[in-house]
Amino acid sequence: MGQSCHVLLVEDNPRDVEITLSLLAESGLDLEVTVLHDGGEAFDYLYRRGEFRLRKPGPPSLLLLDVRMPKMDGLEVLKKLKADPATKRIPVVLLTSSRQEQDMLGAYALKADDYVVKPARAEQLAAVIARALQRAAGPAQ
Amino acid sequence: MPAGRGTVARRVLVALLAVMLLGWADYLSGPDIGFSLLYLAPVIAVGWLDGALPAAGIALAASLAWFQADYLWQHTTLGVTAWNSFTRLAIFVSMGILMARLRRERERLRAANEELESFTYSVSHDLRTPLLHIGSFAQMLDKGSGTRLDDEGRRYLATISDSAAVALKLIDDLLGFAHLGKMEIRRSPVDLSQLVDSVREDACRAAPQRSIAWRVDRLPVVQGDAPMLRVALQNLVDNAVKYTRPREQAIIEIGSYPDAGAVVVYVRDNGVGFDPQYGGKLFRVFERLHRQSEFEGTGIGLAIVARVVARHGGRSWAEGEVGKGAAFYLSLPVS
Repeated sequence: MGQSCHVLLVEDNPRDVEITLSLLAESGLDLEVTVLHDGGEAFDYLYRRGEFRLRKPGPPSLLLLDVRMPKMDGLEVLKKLKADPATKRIPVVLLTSSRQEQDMLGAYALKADDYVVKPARAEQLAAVIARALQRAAGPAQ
Repeated sequence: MPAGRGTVARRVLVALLAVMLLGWADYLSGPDIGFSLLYLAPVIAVGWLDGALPAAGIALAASLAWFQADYLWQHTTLGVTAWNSFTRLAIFVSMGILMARLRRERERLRAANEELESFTYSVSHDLRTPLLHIGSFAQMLDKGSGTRLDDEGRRYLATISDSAAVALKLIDDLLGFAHLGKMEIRRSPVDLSQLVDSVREDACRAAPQRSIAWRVDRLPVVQGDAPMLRVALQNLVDNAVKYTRPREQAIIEIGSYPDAGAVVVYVRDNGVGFDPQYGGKLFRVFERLHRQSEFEGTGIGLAIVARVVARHGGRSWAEGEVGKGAAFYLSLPVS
């Protein structure tokens, strides 16, 4: 990864946001992180709508997505992302407290790049993000 | 023998009475009273119509069938022994009523299962989340400000972190245990030797500094659910590794022997053993025979083993002596 990667962190719980930001800082990866608090905000950001209409264009390098969120849960967000040609190539890593098998199976069936169950370690998160970014960059080279 | 109109009328009345009794028993009474009346009604009916001997036959068959606790068997025996056509009608009608009852019970169980599913889903996430926060923030505090704390402060932090980790493991183990009870068992030939090799590799990787002598025999192929059996073997092997920790040279033996149409797999170790008078408690949830300060654990591992084996129609037991090691046995059906 040559230049800084732009990561969208979609997480509704502020404590989880703080923990994840701390892990990402510790991971050693060169990342620029934008925090969004639910699926609706994530889609506003991706489609440059509402408060994000003036953001600089271009998709993020990766989405870090929580599963359990109000209104639209992470799997619904993932499904919509993969159904839209404009967003389906963005790698998605689910970062969640949920150990439920149906969530994991659902995530992989919807073509999530990876699924990390908290508590995650910084090295683990770094490896998962690096792998997902490499996979996304691979076919384009 | 042609029956007179009076006799026919009486038989119809008795049959209707039997059906009504069964219906009332089903809808108004509790299950025990209902089932008692279910078998009493045809007996009364047959006794009235055909005399004491056939009634006694039905009563005996019903008593034997009762202990089978199987609806179809119960009704089949009743149907065969009740050779009077009107009581036979009453019995077949009661089958319809009971089938309806079975459907209701099945529906009730399905609803209860869904509720449990929803409950475990919530527990999996909503109960884990605050514990994750406790553990993570304790670690962040330690990394950020740990050097500014005195020894006592750092000990408190470590305790907070460890306790949160223990609570998380407990929830995960409990969820795993609950999940085992309801997941569908998928039987196929399972090479136990391959499973044991895989479990052994994991155990060695988790404790690379330990000196463990493994004595593993060639194990047979059994009919079972491979992931479930792996969980059971993993728990036994992890326990053997844990409880042989005080030994300079741990010895863990894994083998099998045939036993009346089944195969018994054993995991034996030279660890700290246990007091056999408490052996019966070993396979129960949350039961531990050693203090948490001596050996960590949630007390669910062996309960998981017992549940897996029970789901396979087998049984599990243990032998041991304090200070002289332990052996855990699982009997499983053979391929």
